[in-house]
Amino acid sequence: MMFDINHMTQQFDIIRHYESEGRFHYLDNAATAQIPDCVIAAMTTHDTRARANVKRGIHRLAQEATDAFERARDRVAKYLGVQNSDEVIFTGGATAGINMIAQGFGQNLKPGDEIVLSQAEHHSNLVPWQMLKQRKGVRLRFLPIDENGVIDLSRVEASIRPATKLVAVTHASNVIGAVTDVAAIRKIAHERGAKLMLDGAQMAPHGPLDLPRVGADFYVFSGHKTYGPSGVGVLWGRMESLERMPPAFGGGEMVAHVAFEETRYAAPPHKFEAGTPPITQAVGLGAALEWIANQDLQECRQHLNGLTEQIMAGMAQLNNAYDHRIRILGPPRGEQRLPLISFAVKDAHPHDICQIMNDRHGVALRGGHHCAEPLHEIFDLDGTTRASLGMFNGQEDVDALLNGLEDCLNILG
Amino acid sequence: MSNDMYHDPIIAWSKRKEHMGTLLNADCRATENNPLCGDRISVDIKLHRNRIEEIAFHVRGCILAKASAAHLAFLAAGLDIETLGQLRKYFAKALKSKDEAFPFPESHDIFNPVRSRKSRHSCVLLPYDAAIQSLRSVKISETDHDQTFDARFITSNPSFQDAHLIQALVR
Repeated sequence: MMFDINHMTQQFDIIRHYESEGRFHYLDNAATAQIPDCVIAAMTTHDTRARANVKRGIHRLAQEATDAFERARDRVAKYLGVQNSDEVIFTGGATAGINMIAQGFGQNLKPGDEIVLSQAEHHSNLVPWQMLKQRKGVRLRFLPIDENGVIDLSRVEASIRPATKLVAVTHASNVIGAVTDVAAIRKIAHERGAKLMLDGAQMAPHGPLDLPRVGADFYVFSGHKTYGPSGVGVLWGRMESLERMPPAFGGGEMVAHVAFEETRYAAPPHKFEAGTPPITQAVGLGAALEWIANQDLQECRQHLNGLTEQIMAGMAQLNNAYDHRIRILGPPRGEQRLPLISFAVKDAHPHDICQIMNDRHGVALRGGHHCAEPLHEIFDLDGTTRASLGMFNGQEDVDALLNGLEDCLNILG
Repeated sequence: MSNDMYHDPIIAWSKRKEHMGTLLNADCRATENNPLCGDRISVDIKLHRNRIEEIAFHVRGCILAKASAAHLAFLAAGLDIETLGQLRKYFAKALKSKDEAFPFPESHDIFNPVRSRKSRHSCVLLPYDAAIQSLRSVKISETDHDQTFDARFITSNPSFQDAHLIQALVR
């Protein structure tokens, strides 16, 4: 069955609105995806019919709000393929989740313990560990990447040592577009007694996961990249890990008993949800994940893979005509990648490319480090320009991107 | 003037090579980064009596950063840190302003299209920040300061309008 792009775009008011005004090609989904109407409707319904604080109130609205919040938690658990929704913690986003793990899991670490990251990490999965290093004296080690930016699996065995307590790597890179071979890393990590955390910020938007099969001990992702609202994300952890892990934040809701001298914490997930959670946003996230799961994901993947291949083929043609000025990062054509392409253009700064694309062609791209400055240093690049596709992108968006890129090649350099 | 940021004057300024590079006998140097976009500007300054005598930029960045660096280098001779700071402050205000309350200095008109693109303001201001940072690193000698330049602009007068100052600067 052909992917019905019109049916898809009709589900996004923001796409209909801007397309009616003229050229509009949103290709910045790796930064933030657009939000379907049904998700906005779910949040509006919640705020107009069930808005109240959760977990403690006895009145009708408190009960409805709590039910809606916990239904969202159940939906997240279903999306992740886990049985126990108490392993699902609502956070402010993937960054918040990683910081919570760094603070909580990190509290039990001692000088000389090692955290293994990769050279391809987003700053959100680097800086919290640098902060832990300063606090606790742990060592950071980095799995190297190959010339395509993919984690070099031949170096995993040497990098994960008896001192390694946690391996924290990206499930899929926001710059390279490569999907990490988790199985190989998980096997060695677990054999050596280390836990595995995956940053799923870029992977989660592409369909339901099977975390028991993936084998991670912790998983984080953000709502706003997953066709949901901003201000909410998920930290999933195996119950035995969550029970041992101290909370990062203290306050209301996360307690079982409080006295002046000491406090007994609640069980997970509430132990990790101090204060009033992002209730409406969690409801929206649950609706977004349900929306994703209800799409024909095989058709979606084929559609987006086809568009990605067209972009790469188009760039190859432009390279033939323009002195091979375009350098695409990540796996070569034909190999698995997310629908995301970061590229550098000789003698053209990413911000100039993005400005021309926006001003002259209505194409929204992202330029700069993409919060992966060390990764760009490895490639000896000041920055790159990134196009990242969402389910509502189609042929017109690809054509606009390639036409705009040719315009940039003519104007710049 | 067109609202197209990549108009001929900007492109032309971005390609100018005079004042690009390094100075062998610089009195002060600095490097400023814009972590959001990766622009990096290094500046070497040679001083005469605490005022810029020679300036050279090395720009790793976008066309706006290059154009602004070349443009500032063209204007910089004779400026001291205070005047440069005021020029930067006025330029920033003019960029942010939506109306003619803060008109662009005449020779800065080429950057008018940048006004409506807030995310690019830092690109055109980065050369100023680098130059100011460089001058900050120098210990200013009070006895060696050229007073005649100040007298011309009456910079110590609190009622002096920025617009007059800037117009005098670029005359």
